[in-house]
Amino acid sequence: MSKKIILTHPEHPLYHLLLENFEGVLLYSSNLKGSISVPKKSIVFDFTLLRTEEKRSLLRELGPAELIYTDTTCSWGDLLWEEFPELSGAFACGIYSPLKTYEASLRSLSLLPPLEEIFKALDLKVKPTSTPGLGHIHPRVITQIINEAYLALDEGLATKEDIDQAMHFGLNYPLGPIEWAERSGLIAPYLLLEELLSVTQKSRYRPALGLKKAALLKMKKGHL
Amino acid sequence: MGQGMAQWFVQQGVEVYLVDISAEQAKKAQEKILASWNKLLEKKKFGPEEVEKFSKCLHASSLEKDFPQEIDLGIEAIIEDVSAKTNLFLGLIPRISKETILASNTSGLSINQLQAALPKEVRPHFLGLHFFNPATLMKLVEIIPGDETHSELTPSIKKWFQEKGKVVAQSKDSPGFIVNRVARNFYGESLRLSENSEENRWREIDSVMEECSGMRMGPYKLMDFIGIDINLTVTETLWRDFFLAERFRPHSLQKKMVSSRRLGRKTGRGFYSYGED
Repeated sequence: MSKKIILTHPEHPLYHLLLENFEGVLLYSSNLKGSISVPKKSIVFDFTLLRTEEKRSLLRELGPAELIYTDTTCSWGDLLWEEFPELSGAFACGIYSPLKTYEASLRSLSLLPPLEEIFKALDLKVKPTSTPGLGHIHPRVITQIINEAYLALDEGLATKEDIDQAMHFGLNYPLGPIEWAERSGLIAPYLLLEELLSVTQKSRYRPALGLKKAALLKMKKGHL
Repeated sequence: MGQGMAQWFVQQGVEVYLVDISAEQAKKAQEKILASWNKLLEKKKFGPEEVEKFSKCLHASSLEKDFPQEIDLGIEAIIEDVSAKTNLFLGLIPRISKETILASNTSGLSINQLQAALPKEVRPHFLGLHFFNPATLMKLVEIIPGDETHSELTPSIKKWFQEKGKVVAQSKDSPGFIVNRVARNFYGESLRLSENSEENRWREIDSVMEECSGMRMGPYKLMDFIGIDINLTVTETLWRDFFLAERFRPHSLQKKMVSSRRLGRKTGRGFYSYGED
């Protein structure tokens, strides 16, 4: 029987949930580089929010595992997908889902059950998609909505409460964009924007200052 | 939109004069509201006495016909055109009390620009009140004071709407206010994610936005519902008003759809097909 290895770090919005539900969760930190030991007969579920470069390094270390499922919310999933044929699935849990359903692209649908099992234990559902792309679908669209809300906030267009209420009561969004960012832990939307900006070089992905500041403060503090 | 707003105001116990270009047009809108109340009566949402009372409070009139001089609030919901709105207010002002509050239901025109075109003594009583469709059901009203709006007007209007069950979000006068601006990327980023014209990808994006994000309708379905041409116009307006900011740039797929008259449900075909034209 394959050993299940769950890897995460405090930056991930599911960090506490993972720790509450599983024993022996491996805590990732950049200091651990080169010291992660993965047995051949193992299935790795990597819940880390890393940009492409750092995710690439991590995936190299996870290489010996039998199956690898990794969170590519903040990295260029399509590129890593090509680079690492050993990747079984790329999922996106970085941005809060009000319906507790997160996207995952899999090499084949036969690789869905192990991921579903982990998600089920967390009371989450998997939504299979064709490709991880760059930031998947839900994280990218919601992050851009969040960023515009923070740009509006930076300009003093309205208060946080008014922006959230406007989007919730004016368009039936399940929650306002500022609350959405906070429930996602702020770091994921910020890192995704930085990754999108770096890959595409399009100014539309430049993070709002308020969002950047809040995320950087949180990353510095840690939020254990 | 004006029809829904009139209906909502009457349901709050306000006497409403529904004014249109012609008395016939106003009458048609009035009849539609009466029909809506009758349906709500059948569904037992309102009692017969309430509906009778509502009917008595709703009047239809043309701009030429008389309506009382003493009105508390005059709110316009005509086409999104500065000249048309300004001319309407300028024609109305000599016929109503100086104390009347005037408001525009514009979804994106500058409140300051509209305010500046009004006589000086009227400007402190002018502001933006943006309702959302259908006004009888959607709780939000965006309230947008202009630079010359009296400082006490905004909080008092806000309080009145809140007492009547609306949720009020106050915005500065800036293109698209809050909702139309922040929502733009729901469509824009979804269009960039497809990068081609494949229906399978649109379906995938729609299903993820519904099942993961919890949106009631995915972006492609919603564009078809609103009208791809209307959505494109709003995007272009915002893009122009934000001095061609990259994040509001319309997508070539929107233009392609509009040029081939694939406008959505109203033409039977948009991103998806809805039967015959």
